[in-house]
Amino acid sequence: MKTFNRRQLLKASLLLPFASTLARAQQSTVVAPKNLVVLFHPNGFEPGWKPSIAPTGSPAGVTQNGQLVFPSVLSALNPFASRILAVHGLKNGVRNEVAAHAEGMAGMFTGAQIPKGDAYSAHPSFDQLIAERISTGGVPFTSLELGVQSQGGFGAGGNSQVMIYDRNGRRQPEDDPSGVFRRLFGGGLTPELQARVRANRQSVLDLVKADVNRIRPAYSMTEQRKLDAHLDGIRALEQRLDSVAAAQCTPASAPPSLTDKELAASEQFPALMDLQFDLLCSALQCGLTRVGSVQLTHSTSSLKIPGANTGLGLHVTMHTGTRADKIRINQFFAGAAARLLGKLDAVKREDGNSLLDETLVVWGTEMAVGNHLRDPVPFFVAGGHATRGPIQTGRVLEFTNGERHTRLLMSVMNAFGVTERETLGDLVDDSSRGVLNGVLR
Amino acid sequence: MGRSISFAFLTAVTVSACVGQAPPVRLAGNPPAPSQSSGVKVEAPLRKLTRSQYHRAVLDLFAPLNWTESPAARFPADERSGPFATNVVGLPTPLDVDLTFAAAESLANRAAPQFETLTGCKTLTAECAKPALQRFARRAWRRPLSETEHAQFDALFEGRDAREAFTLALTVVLAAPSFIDVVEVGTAPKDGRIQLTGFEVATRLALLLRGSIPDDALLDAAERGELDTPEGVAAQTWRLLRDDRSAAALTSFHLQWLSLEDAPEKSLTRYPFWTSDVHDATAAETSLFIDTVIRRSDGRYETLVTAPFTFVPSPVERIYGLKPTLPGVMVGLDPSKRGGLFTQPLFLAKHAHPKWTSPVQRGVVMTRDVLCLPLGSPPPNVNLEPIGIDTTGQLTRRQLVEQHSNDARCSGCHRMMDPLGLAFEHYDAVGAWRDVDLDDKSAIDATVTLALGDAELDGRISSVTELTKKFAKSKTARGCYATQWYRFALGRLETSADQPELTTLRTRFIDSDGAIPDLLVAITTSDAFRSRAP
Repeated sequence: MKTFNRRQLLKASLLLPFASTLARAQQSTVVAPKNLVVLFHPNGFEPGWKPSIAPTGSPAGVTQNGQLVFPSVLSALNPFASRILAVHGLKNGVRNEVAAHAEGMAGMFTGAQIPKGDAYSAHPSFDQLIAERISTGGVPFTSLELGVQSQGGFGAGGNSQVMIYDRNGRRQPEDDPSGVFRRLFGGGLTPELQARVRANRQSVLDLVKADVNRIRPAYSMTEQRKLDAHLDGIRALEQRLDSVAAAQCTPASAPPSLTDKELAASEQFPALMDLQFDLLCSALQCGLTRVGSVQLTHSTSSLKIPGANTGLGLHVTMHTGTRADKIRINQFFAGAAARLLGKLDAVKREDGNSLLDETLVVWGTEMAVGNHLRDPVPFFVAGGHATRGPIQTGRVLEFTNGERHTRLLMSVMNAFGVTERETLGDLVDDSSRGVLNGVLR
Repeated sequence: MGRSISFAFLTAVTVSACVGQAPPVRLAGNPPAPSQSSGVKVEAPLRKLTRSQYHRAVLDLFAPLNWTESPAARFPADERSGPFATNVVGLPTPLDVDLTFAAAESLANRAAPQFETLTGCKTLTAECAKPALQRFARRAWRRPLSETEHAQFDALFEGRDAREAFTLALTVVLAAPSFIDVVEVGTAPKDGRIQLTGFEVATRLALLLRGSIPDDALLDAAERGELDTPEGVAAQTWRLLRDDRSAAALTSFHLQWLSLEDAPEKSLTRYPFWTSDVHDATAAETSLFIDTVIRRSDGRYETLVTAPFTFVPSPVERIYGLKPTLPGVMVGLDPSKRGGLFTQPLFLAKHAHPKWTSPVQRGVVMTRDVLCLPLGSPPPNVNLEPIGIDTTGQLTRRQLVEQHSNDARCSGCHRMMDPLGLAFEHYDAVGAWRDVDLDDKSAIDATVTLALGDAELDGRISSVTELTKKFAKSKTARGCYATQWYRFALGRLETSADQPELTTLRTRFIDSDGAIPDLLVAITTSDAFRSRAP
């Protein structure tokens, strides 16, 4: 760790059991975040992404008050440098024995060690553990998973990769912005129609439930869990029949209906990304959820980003492309992260804070670089209250002792009051236990 | 491609009197071999239709409306069990429930205004709509409706105008698990297993051989009790196989088995002619070949993996260095250079890098998927960059690959799989024949010594055609092929409980002349296919 202040040093020296006591002691000064946003882009960064601290001439010590400066790979983030914590040197907490893509995605936010021959996590991801805690009290969506060209067409082999898991298993993202809009805000029905549609939907759901209940006794308890999960989904739908209609909020304007081809076209990727970011901001702004994620394509993507890698697809380019192409891809994703931060910051609340002030954003990727080497895995945390957020931003932290990246996620969980877990996922050793020193204020 | 053009075709024969048509279907319809009741517990998962199955089912259900799109493309990606898409493990997510419900609503809203085409009712009255709705529900749910369900649908018409009730009823049909899941309630257990109803067997058959839900003819056969016996199931399996609609499902199995669904990317500098059209044509070649071998020729595994003929739909001729041929014209190949599925450009281009071949990838697919031999994962933090060219110019690609065998951490697996991949080195990254490696200028040497621990396969070979001739007779390769079909047919990986019956199926296929249609009938008439564990 290169930069620290007295409080961090103090905290780093404390034994874990005292950490939560300290957290409680700090509650009066730290403004707790309301929302969590997770952003993913695939295949890591080219070496040289690490920001540095440029001296500002401030007499108070350059490491504390200097300006975080991102190198050209990620320079799009510079306008938000004071709102970002960059973490370098973390060891990927996903078991080394497994190679790459699907396993990397499944382990990235869960810390799960993916058994050979499987591509899915048996552990919940950190965002879902936070959602369980904060998306309560009638929040219509426990969490909202969005994707941009993350699922591929039928039969596409490389993209059955999933990064978000709740206690029932996978939570795949939705790629179609118009579908997301419909889920969040309904079909834009007039109030008169709304009542009619609501009654009709209830009739339909009653008969669907009758079908589930007819089938259920014929199956073993393991399979009945699937039917129970189906019923849970229906119940959630029923509850939203009311709450969505009642949401007092002006949504983002309805996204255009796109054809299957448009949804899959590389040249549409930036526009689709903007639509999904806008919808996520609307959902948070309107209180429809507290936790959201955006999965930008997937780990074996053939995306051709306009102006970046127009020859070969993303995954192939990150393997064997030129360094210039790889850097342009990195720059595109840094631009994406900056756009998301910008959109969150542009939403102003009544108390004068922005949505970014109320939200922690975790930006991660499944490997260090495109050749599958997983260490050191890059992670960023952004947002929160500008001066009294739980995580002091505008810094770069360097770790050199094999600390697992899951500990950073534990720190974020801690910021949301989820403090009872010793580790995230199933690695239990000194490098994965507890929060990461120096992250929390 | 240079010298690759030299393997001129031996014969170019029109295989049908009518040029442009595939050869006629040649399926005898053999009776099934007697099946023994194994009485073992086999897993009984409730599985959701895959995106592709849902898509075809929707188009089939609304066939009179001639739709070409469905909401399935907006559903999350399917799970995989082994190489095959099947939604068998995971629980439905809130998003799944939302999306299938929204899809049901939007399909119903889209279809209902065209009620006359769908129902034949000039004006939509409850009286006219109800019987049409019952036919529709029977088809979608693959079973007759119960009295209770009839009453529930009828109740939707009370207090609503018929059009609205009709729309809601369509929504119910399409949102219910009876449509979106493969529901197998079964009949009373026998020997500790639940026997599937004829309707449920019909659904398994249709998913296997149509990639969709059953049509009315198959449901009628089920209703007549014709799917309650192995003989009846065999007869229906043959009927479905004779129907040209089975061709797409047979192709789908092979594409999933060998990971051939996604188009590979190719270097624009080395292969400037490579476009999606070229890839699509290589896929058309392989599809036509598979259908021809299985349904229009002797149907044998040996033919599938060695046949010295193919089809060359334009622009595949660019890869073969041939003149384009008319559709449906079979082209003979130089049997010393090509023969069978594994020498076709679709397979060869997929298992290669954009610019270079990949002996490793080709070795992996051969070892893992074609021979079903277990492979471990690469050891921690090894360099997984593709093996390209030696920048010092000292080593040939083959020598670079062979370094795996010198590294003790890697040699365990690579000793098995690398020779299998190196045997393919005469085919470049898009599947064109080559005698010289363009990068290291070395003469191609595809002579390898196989060391798989399998006496039938091991030893020195000097070409892929020698390799595939060994596969044709190999117990390991033929047994693996039978196992892959078993997984595909049941929509899940086998468990230890499957072993007795699977072993019987494998042995029978190994000992037979290797006719694939007979293998499919053996699977569909097996206990595992017609029953499930409680």
